[in-house]
Amino acid sequence: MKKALCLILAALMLFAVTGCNNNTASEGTVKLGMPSGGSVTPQEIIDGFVAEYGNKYNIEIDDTPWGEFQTKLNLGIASGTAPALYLMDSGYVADAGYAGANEDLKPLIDRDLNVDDFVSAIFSGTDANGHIWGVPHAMNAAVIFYNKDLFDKKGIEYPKADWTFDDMIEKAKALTYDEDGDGEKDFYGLQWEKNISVGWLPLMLSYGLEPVSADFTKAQIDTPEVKKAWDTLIEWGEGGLEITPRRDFAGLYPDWWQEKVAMQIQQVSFINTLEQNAPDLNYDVQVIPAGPGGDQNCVYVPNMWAIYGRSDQTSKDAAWDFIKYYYSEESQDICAKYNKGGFPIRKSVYEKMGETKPANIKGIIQGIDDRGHTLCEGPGWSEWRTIIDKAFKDYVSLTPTKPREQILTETQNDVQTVLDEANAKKVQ
Amino acid sequence: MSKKHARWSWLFLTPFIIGMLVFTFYPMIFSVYYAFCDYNIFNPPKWVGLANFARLLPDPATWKAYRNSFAFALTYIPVQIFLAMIFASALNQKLKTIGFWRVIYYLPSLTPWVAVCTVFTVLYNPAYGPINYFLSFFGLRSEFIDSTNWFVVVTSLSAISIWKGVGSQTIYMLAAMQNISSDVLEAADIDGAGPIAKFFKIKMPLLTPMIFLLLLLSIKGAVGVFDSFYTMLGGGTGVNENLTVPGVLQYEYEFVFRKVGLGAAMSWLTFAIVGIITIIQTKSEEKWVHYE
Repeated sequence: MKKALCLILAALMLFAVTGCNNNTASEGTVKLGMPSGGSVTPQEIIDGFVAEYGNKYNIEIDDTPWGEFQTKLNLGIASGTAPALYLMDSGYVADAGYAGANEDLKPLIDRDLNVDDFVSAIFSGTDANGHIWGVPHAMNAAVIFYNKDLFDKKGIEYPKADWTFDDMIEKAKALTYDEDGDGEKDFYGLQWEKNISVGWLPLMLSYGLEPVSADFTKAQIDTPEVKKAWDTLIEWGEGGLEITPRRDFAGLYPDWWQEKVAMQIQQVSFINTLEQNAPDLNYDVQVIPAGPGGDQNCVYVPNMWAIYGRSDQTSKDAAWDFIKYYYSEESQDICAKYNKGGFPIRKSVYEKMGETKPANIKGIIQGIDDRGHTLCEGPGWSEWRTIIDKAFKDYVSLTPTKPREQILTETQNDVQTVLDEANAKKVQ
Repeated sequence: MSKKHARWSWLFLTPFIIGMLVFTFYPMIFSVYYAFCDYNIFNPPKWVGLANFARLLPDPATWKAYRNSFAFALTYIPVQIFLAMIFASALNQKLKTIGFWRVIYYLPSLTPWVAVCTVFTVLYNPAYGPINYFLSFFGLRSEFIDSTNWFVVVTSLSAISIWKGVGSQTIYMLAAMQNISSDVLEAADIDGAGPIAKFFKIKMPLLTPMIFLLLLLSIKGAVGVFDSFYTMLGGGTGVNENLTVPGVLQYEYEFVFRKVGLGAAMSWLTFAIVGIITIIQTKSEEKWVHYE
């Protein structure tokens, strides 16, 4: 009895050690990576696809949470066990494409999709050589959220699509005031951010310059335009205007939905946060205004569906079938209903769209279609983007660690080094 | 040990040995290999010799990271061990509610790092944080993690680690304290030693084996610090070069930049430094550690 018990215990321990998650799909199974499952991709679509294609393919859904999924995906690609389809952080799509991990979707798009049915963002995964390494899951655009009640209280006109930085500053100044007369400001006009998508990139684009050249070979940081753009944020803060409440420009979103700030730059997925935290807030959204040189942009993050290039043909077919299913009119209508991670990319959704909350969703879509801009994803993106993130944070801080000119020069050199290195490794 | 017992021992040890081989030694060996490779995960590793080390060693970020982690260790370890001794003494009493107090002191150790960091970000806020509000009554003010002085930032973060870690160290210290023979303490009583003399001349020397163990463990933890620096200073946009630590750099190299070779080289550099410190600590053991 004692011996048997010991054997059982030993077997259980062995089982515990070896009972690890098997990342490899069993033979004949097509594994589709849907990070965070129904909370990112509407569950109705996932279920609908399985119901429709379940007879054709033996489908297995990997719905690992988003952050963990991206790490797992790296390991899957490294070990050759990645799912046939995955939703990839947009910043990594180009590098994965150049490294041969992502399938070039251009031939499939040309064969099966009528691109006129989609907004131009469908091509956002295209590289300089015309390869398409991924197609967007949705468009999460940077926009200005504004509180209509705070505007009404001061009798200020709501922002319009053709507004400018000067308009925005004028409005922000009028909306920054001390209501109770205690010498402290109670309301502020504008809140800006520090990160790439709702911070330094829209600002730089508004001043007419991208951080790297279009062919991703030259850094463009140590320039008068970038200096002007970054100085603007200092001026909005404690550099003179004091129209923003945050000395460090770190977004505390509650400031906005607690109605202390009139305008806030954010991604449209912020609508979901507002629905949960402030469902009765009277607000709308507007595109980012045109910068001093007249440049207007609509930066959006298109996390991408990508097909694992090293999968077998059946798996690739299943993955492409899913993408087509996801882009069908029926599925895109479902996406519009749930607004998971941004706006859908099929035009018909907007043609039949009725009244929305916020009201100006159509205006934003138009903005993306007219002047949409991705996060400049390309070779070495994750590294040079982090370098600029850090430099920008230091540059706009009250007390930067070194002279601001030096920050720009050093950042220019560091970004150039990363680009040179990444381009040297690029598989053409 | 009889052959039969040895057989059973091996049988029970096998799962752990397999686990160690697969999940510890195998990655360790490969990380040595990767430290000499250019490896971006997507493509097979390419041998580059000492290039990763040649890139790390002259990089100011590397040495600033070690400077910060040593400053962190120097402010965190002594204070934490000292406080653990004080708390262990307080908890080593025959009180009816002693169980309750022990739980209270241990609770911070159970709190997840992310939650702790979120709360302390608010507490440390220079503009509206409650700590500055309290300090203002005494005419004091600090920028804490927003300070431009790296040492202020590092000590602010080590204070959080002390708060979070002192409970578990108190448990170790309490166990060591309860292991002190009552005969020794009674003999000291008979000789007329007061509580302070007993603490410093009897208890302290007998606690040195535990202090030594905690020092060994803490230095490893301090050099490997990650969560608080990444969560409170990164904010999704990376940690400033002046405030980074080796763990954060390693994470960025491996998981953000996908430069696995550089990250592996960084981890082996850290391993070498911690190894040297541990050897020095072990060599000094016989000079100050007293075994009963």
